[in-house]
Amino acid sequence: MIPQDLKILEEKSIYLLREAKLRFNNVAALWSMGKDSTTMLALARKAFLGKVPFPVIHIDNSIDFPETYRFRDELAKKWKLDLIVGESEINPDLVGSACCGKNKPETLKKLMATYGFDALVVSIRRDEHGIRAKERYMSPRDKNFRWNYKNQPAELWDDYSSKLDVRGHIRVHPLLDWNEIDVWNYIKQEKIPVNPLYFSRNGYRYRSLGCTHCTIPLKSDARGVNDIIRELETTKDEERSGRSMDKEREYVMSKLRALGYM
Amino acid sequence: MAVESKMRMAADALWRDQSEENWKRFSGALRRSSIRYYRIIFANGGRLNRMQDLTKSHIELYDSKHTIVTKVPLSLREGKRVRGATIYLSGLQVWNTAD
Repeated sequence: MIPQDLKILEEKSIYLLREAKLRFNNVAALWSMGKDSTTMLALARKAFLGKVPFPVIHIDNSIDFPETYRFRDELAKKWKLDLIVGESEINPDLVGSACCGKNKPETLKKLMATYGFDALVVSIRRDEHGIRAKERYMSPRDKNFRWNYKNQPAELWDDYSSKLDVRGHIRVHPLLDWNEIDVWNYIKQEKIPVNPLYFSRNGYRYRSLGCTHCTIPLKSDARGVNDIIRELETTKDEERSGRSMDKEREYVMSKLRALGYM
Repeated sequence: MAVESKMRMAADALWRDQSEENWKRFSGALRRSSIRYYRIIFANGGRLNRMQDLTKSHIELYDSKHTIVTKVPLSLREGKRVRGATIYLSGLQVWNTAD
């Protein structure tokens, strides 16, 4: 990766973040404390002169990793983030993808209704999963958070659709063109703080972070950002291979995203 | 009273009553103790297969030499509501092993 490529990605992301702030009245960003959403916040700080100008939402289902909570609190203080924590109820009858498909979107729906957000900045990337590859930079959701991925607006010549459905909202995806190595190269270049769970300890590290009960560590000796970049250049494993919900059954991610999962 | 004894007493109290008050007391004792690592042991020997298993799961706590010091439950109870309590272990590091 040459820095020029990263510069192009950065400029596009900053453009999208500024467009989102300009086009919508009430924007918020989702923050999972993972590498992608933290990179998105770093881009937002760059786009808006050192300050994230919109509220940052963490959907907390109360069983995240302790390191994740610490990272959230420390970075929120350091970057002076307007953090909104939405406590997600644990429904005892739901597990795995059903948990993600119901608990988190329901909590987000309540927050959206309370605060009246009309746009959400979400840090998904096209290379993460086939269904995420179908996303647009600005993607409409209806009032029930449903995403009709078979009927999406065209985005030709950087002409994005920001037309809102009645009581719906728009998902803004500034990192859509990035891939995993781009993100790590940018983290290295900009010295962005990351969750310590990404780094190997005792021969294991987490490559994609979720809740404690659905995230599996992978064998790795990558103790720093440079090691991770080297590892990614040679690995043939999928990024989300440590996320149990992706393995449950075919098309589970398509169904989750259609139901409003981030 | 020694710091470690206070921490063990707080852990014992948690097994009797997983209230938020007890978790806050335990969290304070934990910060002053020698515990550095944690490992989550889910019920049924592996993943959390049902959310109800949350109440049967526990967390093992280790010192800097990776010697197990004590165990605490994974859940917190607020009346009939049950939720995870991992936020109270903030500051510890995960310890994954092959077994």
